[in-house]
Amino acid sequence: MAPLLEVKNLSVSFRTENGPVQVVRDVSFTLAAGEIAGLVGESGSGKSVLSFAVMGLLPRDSGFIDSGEILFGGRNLPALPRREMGRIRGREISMIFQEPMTSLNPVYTIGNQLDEVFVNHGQRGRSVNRKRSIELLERVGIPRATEIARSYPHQLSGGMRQRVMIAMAMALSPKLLIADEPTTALDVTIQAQILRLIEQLARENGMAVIFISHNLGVVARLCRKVMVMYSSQIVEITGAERLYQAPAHPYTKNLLECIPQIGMSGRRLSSIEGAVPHPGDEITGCRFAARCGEAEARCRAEAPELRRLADGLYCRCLKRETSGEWRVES
Amino acid sequence: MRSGESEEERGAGRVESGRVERDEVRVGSGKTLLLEVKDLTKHFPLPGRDRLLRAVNGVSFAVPQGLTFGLVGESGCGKSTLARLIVRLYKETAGSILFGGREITALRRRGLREFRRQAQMVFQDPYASLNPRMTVRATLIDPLRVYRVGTAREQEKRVEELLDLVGLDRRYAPRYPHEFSGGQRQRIGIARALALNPRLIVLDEPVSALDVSVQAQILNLLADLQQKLGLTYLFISHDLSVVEYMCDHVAVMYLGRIAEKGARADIFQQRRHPYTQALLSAVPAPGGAAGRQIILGGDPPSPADPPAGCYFNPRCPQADTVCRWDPPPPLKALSDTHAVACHLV
Repeated sequence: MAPLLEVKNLSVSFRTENGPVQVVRDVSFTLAAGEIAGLVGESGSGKSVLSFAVMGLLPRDSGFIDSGEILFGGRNLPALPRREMGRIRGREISMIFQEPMTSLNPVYTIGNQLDEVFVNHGQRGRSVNRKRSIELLERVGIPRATEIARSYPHQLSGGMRQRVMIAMAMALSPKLLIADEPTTALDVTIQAQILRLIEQLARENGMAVIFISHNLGVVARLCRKVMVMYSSQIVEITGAERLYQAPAHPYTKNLLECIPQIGMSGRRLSSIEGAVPHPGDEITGCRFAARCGEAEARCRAEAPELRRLADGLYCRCLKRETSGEWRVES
Repeated sequence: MRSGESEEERGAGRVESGRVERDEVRVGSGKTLLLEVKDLTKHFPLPGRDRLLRAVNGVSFAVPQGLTFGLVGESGCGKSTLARLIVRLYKETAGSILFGGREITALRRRGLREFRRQAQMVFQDPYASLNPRMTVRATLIDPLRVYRVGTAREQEKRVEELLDLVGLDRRYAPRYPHEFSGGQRQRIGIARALALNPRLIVLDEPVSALDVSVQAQILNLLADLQQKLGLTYLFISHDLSVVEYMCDHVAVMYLGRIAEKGARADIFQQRRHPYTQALLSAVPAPGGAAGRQIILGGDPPSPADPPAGCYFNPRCPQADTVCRWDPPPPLKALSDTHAVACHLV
């Protein structure tokens, strides 16, 4: 079966005063219908830009796709006319963001904003729309939905606002939901509620999810497939369990060692020395080599490709390709 | 040049000697309590008659010298208000705070000034808490000027010492905050807190705004500084993994009260309060499932309108009639270190 989403060798740049800066480099991955995949990386790794490119929301005056394809249900999204992309957005692909307060309009009621989703996609009929809005609020677990539909965003808690955003994203039953750090601003007990809700909605609707997060623990809880980004590239694609038991890429391995885990007090945390290279830095060789404890001369000379090491395991590292620990399949 | 350097070093020694005099009040070491908070309460008036936001309600705990005491809880639980009460940014509604055995709630002017020199604070957002128009040097010299510590030359020397201590290059002194990454800015914030050789540092979510790889660097730095300088930390965080990693003693707060407190193992292995249990089970652990997950319904209630009965009862999976009608349960001691506020324990 063809995947729902296939991103092929995608590179994205931004125009800046100092010339174009490439912020997504040669990214490839696939996502099956109903699959929940995590996209993890530290700030500036390019994960949000990647998701904006998929949504067709790169700033028109400064962001552009250098090369590559984004195939969604067989159509190459960047090549579509703007109007057609507008129809796909919301109806087939939806997105939720980190800060629900800034994504909701403070001067309209929750109900008005939900109704508008239907109106924008050509469905008139006020009372029908409101009825559907209230049903949506109930589906995302909002108590007293009729009353909440009449309130304004500032009257709701952070967790409730995120539920409203999810309701809005679910309004037209999309096939793909891109969730960009949706629980980062929430408390852990509320985060647990929202993760469970996303999981349940995905299951019930056969909806695929790209869950973007800097928190490896959250991704482990929710996703089966994990994609790790570092400095504008995907460096590893693996299963959630394998990620923690046998991380392949040295960056993934180091990143895991940085996280304090309950039960490890007293031991010293390892940290990754140095800093992430600026996305615009052109680096010969591996972009992680300067901070990698395992780097050899060839890592600084030759740029690694994302290679398949095993079923469901892809890694961008010259040393892993030849280590023999994983047989490289071409 | 060499002789100039040694003179500066002696100068730095004088800065240090200020510390020795001040520290004569220090009693013993190790198990001595540096900070004791007793029945501390802070209510903020709200618009309207007799409406109060009960941010902190009768909180008591003690922080031994040289150790790290963690305060955890979700937003609105009162942990930051508590921190601000302790460094005297807020005036308490009731209760007492003993610092080195001395009551500090009544301190005014000179006494307060002396206390603040010994208790410093590091904030969550290292960018918002640094003045963008001040260079690193100016930021670090500022507290020395305010307290008139050392000559201009000694102050310069101290800036270099502080940069060395927090692992920043001395050449960064003339730069401005915007030239640094988040982790480096937090190092500057820590250096500023260390400038006057404090005994207590209150760290309010010091690593929450940082990426994990940088977070690890800052946590390691804090651990090193504690060992080197014998600092006592009050460490506030919503991240339980970080708290477990850093803290010797922990208090879990909910709606302005302590739900459970104890030594690290009491909280992380023997937890008894239903809220602590739910909170810990909600932490997504990278290692995979850490036991059955307890998902709490609803949001924490507002401290302006707390529920009747036990403050946790509306969300508590075990709540009973007693929990709904009896007054909030007091902390019950389960051992020398461990105490829980729950009717059912």
